[in-house]
Amino acid sequence: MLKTKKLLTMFITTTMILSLVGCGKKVVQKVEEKKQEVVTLKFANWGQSEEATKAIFQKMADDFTAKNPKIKIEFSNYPYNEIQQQVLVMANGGNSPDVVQGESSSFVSYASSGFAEPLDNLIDKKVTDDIYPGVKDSMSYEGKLYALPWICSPFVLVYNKDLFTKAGLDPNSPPKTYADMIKAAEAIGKLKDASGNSIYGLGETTAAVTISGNAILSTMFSFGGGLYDKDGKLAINTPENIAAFNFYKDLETKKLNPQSGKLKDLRNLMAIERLGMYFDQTWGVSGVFAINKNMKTNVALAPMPATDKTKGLSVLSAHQLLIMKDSKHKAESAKFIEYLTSQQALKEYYQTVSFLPGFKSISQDTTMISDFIKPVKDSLTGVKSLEKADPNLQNALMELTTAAQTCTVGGDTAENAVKKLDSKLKDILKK
Amino acid sequence: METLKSTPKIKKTPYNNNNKKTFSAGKMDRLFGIALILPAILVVGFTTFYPVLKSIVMSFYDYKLSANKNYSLNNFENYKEIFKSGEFLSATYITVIYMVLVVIILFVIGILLANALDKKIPGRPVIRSLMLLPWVIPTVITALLWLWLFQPQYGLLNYIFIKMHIISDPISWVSSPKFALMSVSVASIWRQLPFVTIMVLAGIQGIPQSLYEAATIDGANSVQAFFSITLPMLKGVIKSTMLITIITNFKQFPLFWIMTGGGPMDTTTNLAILTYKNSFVNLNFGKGAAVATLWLLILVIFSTVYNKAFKTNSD
Repeated sequence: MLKTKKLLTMFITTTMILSLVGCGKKVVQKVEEKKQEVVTLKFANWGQSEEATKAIFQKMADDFTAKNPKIKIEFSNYPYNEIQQQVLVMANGGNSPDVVQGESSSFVSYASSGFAEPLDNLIDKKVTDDIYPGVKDSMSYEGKLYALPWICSPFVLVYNKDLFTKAGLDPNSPPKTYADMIKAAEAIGKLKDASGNSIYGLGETTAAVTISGNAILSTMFSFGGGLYDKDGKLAINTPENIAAFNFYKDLETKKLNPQSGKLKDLRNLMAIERLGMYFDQTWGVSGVFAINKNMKTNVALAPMPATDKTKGLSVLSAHQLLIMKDSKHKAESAKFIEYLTSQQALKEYYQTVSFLPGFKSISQDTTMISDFIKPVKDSLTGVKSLEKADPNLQNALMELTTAAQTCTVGGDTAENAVKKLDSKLKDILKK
Repeated sequence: METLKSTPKIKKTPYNNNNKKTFSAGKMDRLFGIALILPAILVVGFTTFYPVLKSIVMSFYDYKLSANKNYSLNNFENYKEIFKSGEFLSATYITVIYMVLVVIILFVIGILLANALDKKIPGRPVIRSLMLLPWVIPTVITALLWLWLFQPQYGLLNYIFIKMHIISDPISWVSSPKFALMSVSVASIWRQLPFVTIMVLAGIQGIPQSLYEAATIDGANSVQAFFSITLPMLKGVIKSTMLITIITNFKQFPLFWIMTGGGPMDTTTNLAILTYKNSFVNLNFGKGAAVATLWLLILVIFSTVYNKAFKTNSD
């Protein structure tokens, strides 16, 4: 009897184990099948970690997944100033994200490293042909397109209409040349605020950060200079570049510019009405409005002023979308970045920040040209990219800020600042 | 000799085989000791020594983060570049000037404050508690706090100085090559003063009161007592506290990075900032590691010389 019971127990237990294993296998198989169906894309970005864009990023991802149920988006959030090093560290460790939110100054690092995938064969030719030529150039490396432009802006002149009126200037006629701009800045510089504090005429960022380097490079372009000549040879110590740095020297001598200010310092000063004009990207003005909402009716935009040499030029500031070479889901990633740069997604994004679309067809959409952006809507035609892309560009941009500081807070001449810059950049931009 | 020869042999038993027993016990104790410290050695080795060694090896490589894993041995090229550009010498000079300035001021004010707090003054417990406030605030917050105080257009410091007619125009404290290093030093002294004061105060409280009583009987005044009793008795405390503050300030990073970013014109680029800029701004880990290796070497040599020079009896 006892033996029969034992045998029965053994039989039942064995049956149960076998059925469990069988079921388990089936469940695992089903989960794996499901896993194979749904692709999860890792999207390294800084927009989700910023309060202003957090919601719209989530909405865009949700909308994409609603349209493509088999592709899910997983955000990997990093602070704006750390994303590049974090992504490169991950890529070095063989743990690349699929899609990366990049920006102009970090573009060459991604493209030249070989960690980014060329997009020419992944993105529809119709889409790539629709990108503005200047914008496309600044997203290409060695003839290949590596990024899609998400939101774009050159540097534009941001000015306070009230201060223009108080200084006896026409608020509807912003300066069109650098010479006029200096005159206007001098007039504004004579004003005082209600507490008797001085008001700065013109803000130009020269702090030791790469975005300031981009602003300085734009000034160099506007004065007909730059880093290279037409043949791609390094050309720093030129009369055009000296003229550009003399502009900074002039601002310092006339005490028109807050010393070594970061863009955020200039936005703060604009918000508290202690700055008449400054150069910024279109979306940067949101920072002014975030501090002082009343400035929405008081701030206006104007294109870069002209010099004797050019009509006013700027480097492109753009948030870009890149696909990493190690991504196992390149086709899905391409689909995702095509969606993010589509008219529908950009229209939604435009409700949160002001920008210029990098695509010719989308820029004609009148719903994306507010009265605020209207004066600078054609600015992307004035975008200039470097004749040559060097992997050490970011380092070179930092040196531009040092040169600007040398002839402003450092008290040296523009000629000496450019001479020192020339010697430094010969070492840095060897390639 | 005879006596020795005639000494009867003692038969070895498990109970009198003392030598063997002691040796085994000693060996066991040593093994037990090693077993106890082994986890600590492994953790420290893995988290400290391995990264240091890896960093030293990396300093001989062309190791750029953007080079897609194409790292090659370039011998002393990173070191050559550092010395050729002059950035290392400049950063070392700034580090040393800042460190000497901060440590001297810290100890002068710290010792005076500790002496004052040792006296029976009204509200002493409250003052002692308030003294600790800057020490408990994280360095990052300290940097942001002082950055706002130094802000040229709407900072408190310029406001007060202008109202008191000390200056007529606002000064760009952290953006001016003249004032940037000084501004960081002020923030640093404010942050570290409680530590030095508390350490010295603890040292003062450990000095026997009888020494002061004897000195008073011998006719010594308070200044003489300070230089003949207090300072010599504080030698041990000052030695260790000074070494800590020297090392802390030698490797100061957050205050510099947040307040000035090494600028303007590299006038506040110390060795820590130079290492960070090379590694994480220029993404050149090889060059960054070379700066860090030289920096490590300087600190090791300095600590050795310092410990020998200030050797106390207890050492």
